[in-house]
Amino acid sequence: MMTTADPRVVAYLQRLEEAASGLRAERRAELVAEIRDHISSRLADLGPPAAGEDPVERTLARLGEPEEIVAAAADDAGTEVAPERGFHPSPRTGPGGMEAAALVLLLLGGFVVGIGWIAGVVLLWMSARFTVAEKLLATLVWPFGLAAPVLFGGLIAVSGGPGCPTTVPSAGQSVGQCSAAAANPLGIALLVASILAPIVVAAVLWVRASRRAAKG
Amino acid sequence: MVPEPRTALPQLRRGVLEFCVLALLGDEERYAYDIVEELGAMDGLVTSEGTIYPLLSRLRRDELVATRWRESEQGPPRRYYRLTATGTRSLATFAEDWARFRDSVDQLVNPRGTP
Repeated sequence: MMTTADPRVVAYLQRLEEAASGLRAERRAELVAEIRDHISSRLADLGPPAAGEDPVERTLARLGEPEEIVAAAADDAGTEVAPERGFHPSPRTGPGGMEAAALVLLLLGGFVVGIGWIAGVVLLWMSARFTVAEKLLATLVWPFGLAAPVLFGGLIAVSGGPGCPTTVPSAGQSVGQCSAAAANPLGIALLVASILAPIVVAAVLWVRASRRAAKG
Repeated sequence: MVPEPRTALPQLRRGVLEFCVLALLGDEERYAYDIVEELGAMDGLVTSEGTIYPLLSRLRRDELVATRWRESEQGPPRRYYRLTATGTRSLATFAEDWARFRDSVDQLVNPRGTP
């Protein structure tokens, strides 16, 4: 909006932003956006200024002082005030929703055409609560999480059964499946291990992130 | 020095403004600027129009009003407010409370019935 480019409007919104620094980021952004919309709507309503009139000044005067607006926002709920302002002890004592979502998606997201797992990786690397080593571990064990061993296990089951398929469509393709099924006890052990590994990794990451959070 | 005479207006505003917003919504869906504009035009009700925005978001959090985004012909989409069932009930209760309250105060402050 052209109208909100007036330096007085810019300065006003700047003051509002600063006054609102105690609010949660999301509430602050919403408030500033609402007031900005209000100013541009009002200026559009008032139209071009007549002689001796100053629509910008009038609009800002009617809005009130930025500090007053923020006080009204902070007024009603203690939760409005961001924890770092020191009114409340931090309510976040454990790893947050993002960490939980990351670990769940890493484990199960692979079933959602692989996309879920990729989202999990993105969340994992965005989080500040894991170390780089942990992030690497969680990414590599295993790509596509539980979907990998399940898919792998499914292949064994399909081609499975004792003995190899009597018809071998193309040599290279069936040899691996055949030998995996043939080495039955070992195959199953590997399968179980490959299912447990990502679960253990996710659990370890969760516990470590929780401990770090508890220490502050 | 003579102390300032007292005024109840700021306290009164604090108490009733949110119900005025609810009343303004009635059974209509309106967007924030429109609400602020109308309240601001009424005598003595609002001193700083900007403070109505936090009030609206509190009403939203308390689920007395619900909102949805609607496209607008000029500019970006706007958030429209409407009363919820709880909002409607709160407004009805307030209307009764207010009538009783106003009558009682009037009897004391203005016993002859003329302002």
